Amino acid sequence: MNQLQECEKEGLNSIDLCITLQPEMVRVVRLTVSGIASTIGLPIDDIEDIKVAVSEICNRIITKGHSINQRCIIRFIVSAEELKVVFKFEKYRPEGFKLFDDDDVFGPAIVHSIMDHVNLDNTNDEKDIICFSMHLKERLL
Amino acid sequence: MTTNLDVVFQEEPEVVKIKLIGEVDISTVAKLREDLYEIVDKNASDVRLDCSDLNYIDSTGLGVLVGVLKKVKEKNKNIYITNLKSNIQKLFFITGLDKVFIIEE
Repeated sequence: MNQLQECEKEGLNSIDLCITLQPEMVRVVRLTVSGIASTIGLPIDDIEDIKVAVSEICNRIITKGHSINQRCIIRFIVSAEELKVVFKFEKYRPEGFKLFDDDDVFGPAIVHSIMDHVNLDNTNDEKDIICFSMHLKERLL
Repeated sequence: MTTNLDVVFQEEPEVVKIKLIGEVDISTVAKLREDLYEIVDKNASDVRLDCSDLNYIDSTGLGVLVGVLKKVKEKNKNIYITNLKSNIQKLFFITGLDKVFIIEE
C-alpha cells in the first residue's frame, strides 16, 4: 500500500493538483499551496516557508522531467497534526531520475531547514518522488 | 502567462542601482540572469540591489545572484543587497549567503 492509498484509507482531507511539467506551473502550485495553508490558518511566515519548499521540489521535477510526456501529482493532505505534501509522477518514475543532484546545495538545505519531516526514500511506490510535512499543532495556537 | 519579473536599473558614477520587482522562479530566472549579466558586463561599478519589491526568490534565483557576484568581484567591486523581505532574508541565512553578500537593512 503506497502513501496515497494509506491516506485515503484513513479518510484524511486531501487536495490533488495535477500539473504538466512546465516552468509556468510552479507559480500555480505556489498559489495553490498558499491558499491551502491560509485556509488552515497558518501564520504568514509559515505560508511563505511551505511555498518555498514546494517550489523547490517542483523546480527539480519540472527541470528534469519536462521532456517526459506525463504529469506530476501533488497531493496536499491535511490532518489535525500536520500538513503533508506528497509528490509523485502520474505514470512512472523516469529511469535514472534523481531529485537532488550531488552538487545541488541550496535546494536540499532549504527544504530540510523549512520542513519538519522530509522523506525522500519512497521505496514502496516507484512513482513516488518525495513527501514532506509541516507540524500544525505548535503553529495553530 | 505573463512574465512576473521586472529588472529596473539606474547607472550612477560609482554604483549601478538595480531594483528587482516581482518573483524569481524557474519561469523568470532566465530573464534575471540575462538582465543582470548584461548590466554588470557593461558596468565596472558596485551594485546596489534593491529588493523591496521582490516578493519571492528560489534557489535557482539565488544561484544567479551568486554568479553575478562572481562577475562583479572579478572587477574588484561588490554587491550590496538592500530591503530584503523577511521571508527572503531567511533563505539567505539558511543557505549561508548572508555571509557571502553584503546585506544592508
